Amino acid sequence: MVTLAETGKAPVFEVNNPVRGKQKRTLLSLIIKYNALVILALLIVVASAISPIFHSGGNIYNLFRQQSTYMLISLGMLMVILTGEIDLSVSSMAAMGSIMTAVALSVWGFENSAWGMVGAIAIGIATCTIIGALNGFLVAQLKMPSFIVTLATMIGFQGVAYMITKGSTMMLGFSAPGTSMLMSFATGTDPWLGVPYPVYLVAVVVVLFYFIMSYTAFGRLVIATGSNETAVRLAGINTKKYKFLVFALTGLLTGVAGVIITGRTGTATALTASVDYNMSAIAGVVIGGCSLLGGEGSVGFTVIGVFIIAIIGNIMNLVNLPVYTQMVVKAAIIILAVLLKSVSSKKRV
Amino acid sequence: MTDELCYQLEMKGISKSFVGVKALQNVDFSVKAGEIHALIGENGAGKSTLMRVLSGAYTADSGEIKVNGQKVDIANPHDGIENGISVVYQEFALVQDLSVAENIFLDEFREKHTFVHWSDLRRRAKAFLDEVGFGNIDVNTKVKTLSVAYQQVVEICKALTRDAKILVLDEPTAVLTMKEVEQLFKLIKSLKSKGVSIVYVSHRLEEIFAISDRITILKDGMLVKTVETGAIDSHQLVALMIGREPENYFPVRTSAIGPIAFRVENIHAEFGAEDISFAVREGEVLGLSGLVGAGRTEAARAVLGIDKLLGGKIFLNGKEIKIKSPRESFKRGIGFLPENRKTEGVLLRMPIRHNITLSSLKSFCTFGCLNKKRESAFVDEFSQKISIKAASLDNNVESLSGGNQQKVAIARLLATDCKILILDEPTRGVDVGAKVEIYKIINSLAAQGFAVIMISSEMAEIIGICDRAVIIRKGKTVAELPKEELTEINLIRHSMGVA
Repeated sequence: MVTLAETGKAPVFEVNNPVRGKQKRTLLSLIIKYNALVILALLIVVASAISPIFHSGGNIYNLFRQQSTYMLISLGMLMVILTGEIDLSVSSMAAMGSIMTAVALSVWGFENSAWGMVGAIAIGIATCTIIGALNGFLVAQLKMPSFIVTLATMIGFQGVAYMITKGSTMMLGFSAPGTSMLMSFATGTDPWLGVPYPVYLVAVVVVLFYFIMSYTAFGRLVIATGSNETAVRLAGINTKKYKFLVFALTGLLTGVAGVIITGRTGTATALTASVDYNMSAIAGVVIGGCSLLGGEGSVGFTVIGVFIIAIIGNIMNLVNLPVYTQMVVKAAIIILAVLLKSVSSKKRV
Repeated sequence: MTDELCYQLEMKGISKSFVGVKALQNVDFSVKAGEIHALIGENGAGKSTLMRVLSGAYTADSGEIKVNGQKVDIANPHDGIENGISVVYQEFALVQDLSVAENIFLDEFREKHTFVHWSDLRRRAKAFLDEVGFGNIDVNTKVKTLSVAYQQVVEICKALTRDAKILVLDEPTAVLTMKEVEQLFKLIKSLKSKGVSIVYVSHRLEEIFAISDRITILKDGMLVKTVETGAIDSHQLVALMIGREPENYFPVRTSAIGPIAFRVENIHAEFGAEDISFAVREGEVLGLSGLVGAGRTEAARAVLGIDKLLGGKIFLNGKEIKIKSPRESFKRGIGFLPENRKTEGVLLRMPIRHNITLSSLKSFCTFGCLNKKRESAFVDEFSQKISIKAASLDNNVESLSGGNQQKVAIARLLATDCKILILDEPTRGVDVGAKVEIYKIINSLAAQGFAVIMISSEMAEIIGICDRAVIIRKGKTVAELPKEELTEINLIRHSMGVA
């Protein structure tokens, strides 16, 4: 037998799948690979063509401000989905975070000072982190399916949210120093560029998570766990720890979102649990190219995915499409995006 | 030949090769009507391939098959069934949640789309069971509540509904108790009396002698001999199975063997391992030999905290330890290479780089942050050392050949600080070239003072590479052989329990 090395064609590449081996970098393959980016670009063009308002600074900042809560929650969802799990409880968690912040401010008297505000924020975030940790414990330690666990906590904490607020909207005293500070952060913009403060916060979090996923052992092992949990466990890694942590982390990020929700309006209501945070976050992550089976996905593309959903909503608002029609259009675009991905990877969605 | 008329099945000159490997070369195999014909040979001798050609799962490259003297074409399993050939594999194809009657007539459900005549179905199922002497099985019980032996009876009845004239039983007794084996033999004999030909594939010599009329021995894809069962004894049979000398492609090793590094005593695991003991020294390669399913993997997995350990002691450097999880075993310096490469060994859809540093990621981190440069430099150097052939180390592992995937899995172990390595079938599904390279890696590890435990079903490999071998049969350690006594005949004797 003559080896390839002897014929001078060094080195020898053994490839199972010839197609994968000879993959050409054609324009088409690039478009398929970066389909989320292409869709985003197309949407921006379409939006600018349809409505001149889209380009205006006011609209763009408004878009960013609205998306800050979605973005935070989606980053958590990304981690959970990377491990091959799902978290359906984020809407209820966000409601709990929002309500507990409001309770701390108005009922427990944290509204009277700056430090009180810090305490209220901490309580809101801690509440969600604890709920996330509960999800994580049930999924990782007790090996329960995350779909069921988070479905249950979704329903349960929605109930708790209504019990705390007794079904009505909690109004905060806008004049109290703590509350007004929180609100001026959530609704304010910086005096130089006019960028909303929450957008800065989200930008920092996005950069931080990009770093975590790319440059830490934690990020690597989260992806590995989703890629093949058995193999990772047999490689001597405590996969339970990572599953637990991603759920707790999702709780933490959702808690931050909850605080912003309260600060934005100066109110808190259990209706937050019915906002589409669950589905928008999952759709954003999936449109961003993440596999629901785990092990595949990135922070950058998740950000793009969230913006795709946001801009679709924005365009439809600008052209005054009725809300119910908007839902249908959103659904169609989500299916299209996922279809594109399943076509490009052929094997898995 | 006058005999020719009574052959129910004749296979002549069957050859079959897979990419570069000749699995069968010019094999003749024939079975008379109402005969019980045993087919034996080592792992990889070609038994399964031959039976797959017969059933239509594979198509032969050359050769012809005659059923009742008529030449037939068997291109797919359906053709096989049409010609009266049925194979009962080790893993049954029964629907666990359906009743016995429903399972027996499962084929009918696929073909008929009308209402089911339940009482008729039950009556006919009962008739089948009565006919084979198992009228005591209730046709209404769900299959999952039956013992393995009874499930096998159901599987055989299912084959009979297809008018099977040639029934292949692939290792039918592998999971049966003694009593169940007797029941099975009763059934086989009653089928024989009805003129059904039975091909009995097995490793268990005592059973072959108890039940078969003739024996065909395969070796390295070639026919060694077909003999009358009465005309041969077990020693002659074993000699025929070994046949010629194995090719010697095992590199020579000279390493100083040190003190005992790792020892386990009386390991009892949840599945398959009952009483297994072995010890390995520094600089030594210990083989765990035995038939597939003897309990070697199960013992290793229980020792390493992957499966539940029901009993037994583990000693590391003379001190008794407990291992609760794979994480703990790695911490203690005991590394494990799992048997199923694709599902347990590597992360197919992650880059080669990330696979190699998976178990040792901590050592490339400062406060949890990865030093990617150091990681890259390490992987570059390391993969060259054990010659992983890849277009780019950033490619996913799935783009590699089996041998290179296995090298990635081994590299992952070697990147850790583990000094004791348990390698489960390290060369399974790997081409000969990569095999030799893996042997070289094992040799150099032993030379560096690593203690290596190699679980292998390939006898040639155990003989070629191990300093010592422990033989495990039916969940128990039955023998320990030093290098001088490592011969195929000794291994076969102990692993099959021939005196």
